[in-house]
Amino acid sequence: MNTEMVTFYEIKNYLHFSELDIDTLKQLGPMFRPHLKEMADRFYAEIPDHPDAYKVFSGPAQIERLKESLQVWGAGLFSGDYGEDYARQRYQIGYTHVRIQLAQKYVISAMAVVREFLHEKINEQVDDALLRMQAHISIDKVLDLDLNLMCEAYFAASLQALTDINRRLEEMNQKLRESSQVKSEFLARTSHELRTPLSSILGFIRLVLDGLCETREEEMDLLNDAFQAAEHLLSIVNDLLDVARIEAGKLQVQGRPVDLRPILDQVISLTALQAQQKGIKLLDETHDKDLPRVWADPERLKQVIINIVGNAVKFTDYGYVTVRARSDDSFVRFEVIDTGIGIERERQRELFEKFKQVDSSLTRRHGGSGLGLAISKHLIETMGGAIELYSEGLGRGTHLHFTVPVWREPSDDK
Amino acid sequence: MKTVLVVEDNPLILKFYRMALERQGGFRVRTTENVNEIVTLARSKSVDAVILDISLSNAEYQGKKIDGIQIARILREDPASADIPILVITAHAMEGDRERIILATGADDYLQKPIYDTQKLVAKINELIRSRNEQP
Repeated sequence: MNTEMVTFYEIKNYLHFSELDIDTLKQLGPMFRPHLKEMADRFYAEIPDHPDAYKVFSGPAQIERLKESLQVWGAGLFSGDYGEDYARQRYQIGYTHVRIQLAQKYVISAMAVVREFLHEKINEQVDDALLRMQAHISIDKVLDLDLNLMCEAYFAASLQALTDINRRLEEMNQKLRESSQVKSEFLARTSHELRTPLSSILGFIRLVLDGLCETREEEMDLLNDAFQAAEHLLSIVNDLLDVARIEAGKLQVQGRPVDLRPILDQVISLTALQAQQKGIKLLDETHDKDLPRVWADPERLKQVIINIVGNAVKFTDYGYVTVRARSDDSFVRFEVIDTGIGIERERQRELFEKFKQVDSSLTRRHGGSGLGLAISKHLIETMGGAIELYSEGLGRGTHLHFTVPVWREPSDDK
Repeated sequence: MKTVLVVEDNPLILKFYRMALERQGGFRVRTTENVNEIVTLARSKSVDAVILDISLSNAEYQGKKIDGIQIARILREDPASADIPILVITAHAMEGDRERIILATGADDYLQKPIYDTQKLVAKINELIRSRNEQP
């Protein structure tokens, strides 16, 4: 037996709902049935004053339907059959009230209206004093039974709501624990990544200060290494600041119409030297006629393109890096294609995730915080574009593309 | 002249160790990430101490990527190289890393990056070599 039915039998028991009550109610049935319509009219006459009425009642036609339901319910009180079908039907009424969000207090108050009406009718209609007394008792019991079952429905709904809230809290808690774990790991890796360039900076300066160099050239060489390590450290710190801003929702992007050519030229000239030193080709295959103005933050856009082209050069030891920008009506689409080391498919999505990247062996070999792509993705998306990376796998090059929205002149027609 | 083997993947840090150990300590310095070479050098007693980094990008052993902790274990488990002084120098610097790493590697000592005091580094290596030699 389910808990609803167990509860039903318990309530009947507590109410001392007896064979005598059943017989009495059955006996009252024929007398009350003609008055049920009157009861429904009386009941719904009070509805306009009901503060929650607007929730439940949409108009006169609906009130007529509800009056009929109330009469069916009223007839049920005198059916003489108070078994499990009766319980199911009564629970159902309760659940309906819960579903339409009628407050429990109005159900109790409605039941009081019905109760008064029925007691008045008993006084009017039942002449036999003994039967009249028993009728008052039995009608109270059956109304109490109904009221209890309806309140059970409310209780079950509250319990369900609390269970749901609990589950959501538990899920949230789990997420917080995971995110705290991720942040601790991030902190550990960050500390690791900061110590590496710091080692070079402090170490090389120490070697010079200790007078361990034999020539002036050697000193200059070490200082140059220290300087580069310091620049590397600066780029890590900048990336960390960007990530902190993103996390706090405070990374500002100032959009305005932007010409792409100067930005592309700057990026190409910044990365060309690096490409040349590595003996790879850096090709710009963008045609100026393909370049409308875009809506973007020029500094942030430059940061993104430097990051992406810089990565391509960094991770390509042989071959070429091609940069290409083309537009359709809505977007300029940048493609950066390289013949470099590529990346395994399983790891491609991870690249864009914050907190995942610092400390891959690749970043150690190639420099950088490894946070650049996560930052670029955030910047591109904030500027209204999208970014995607594709690689067939390790050793097979990488194809990265991203979009930036084309700027539209505000239309003149009014 | 004592020889120190440095196992480290960062070329700049390698450059620092080489200069500090050669010029401040008068050591001979060998560097490699090749695990077979490391094992051979340690077994043949051609090196007197090993400086070992934990995160290595190029070290492979039997076809698998391997880190400094595993390399230290290989050296310790082989009787021919079990006695070689190992100094772990790593940028892993969170709480508990020191104990965890010494326990896992069986290293003689552990230093945290950044390492830049050349005299201390040389003194530490000398101390490890000496204390190993004094053992019965």
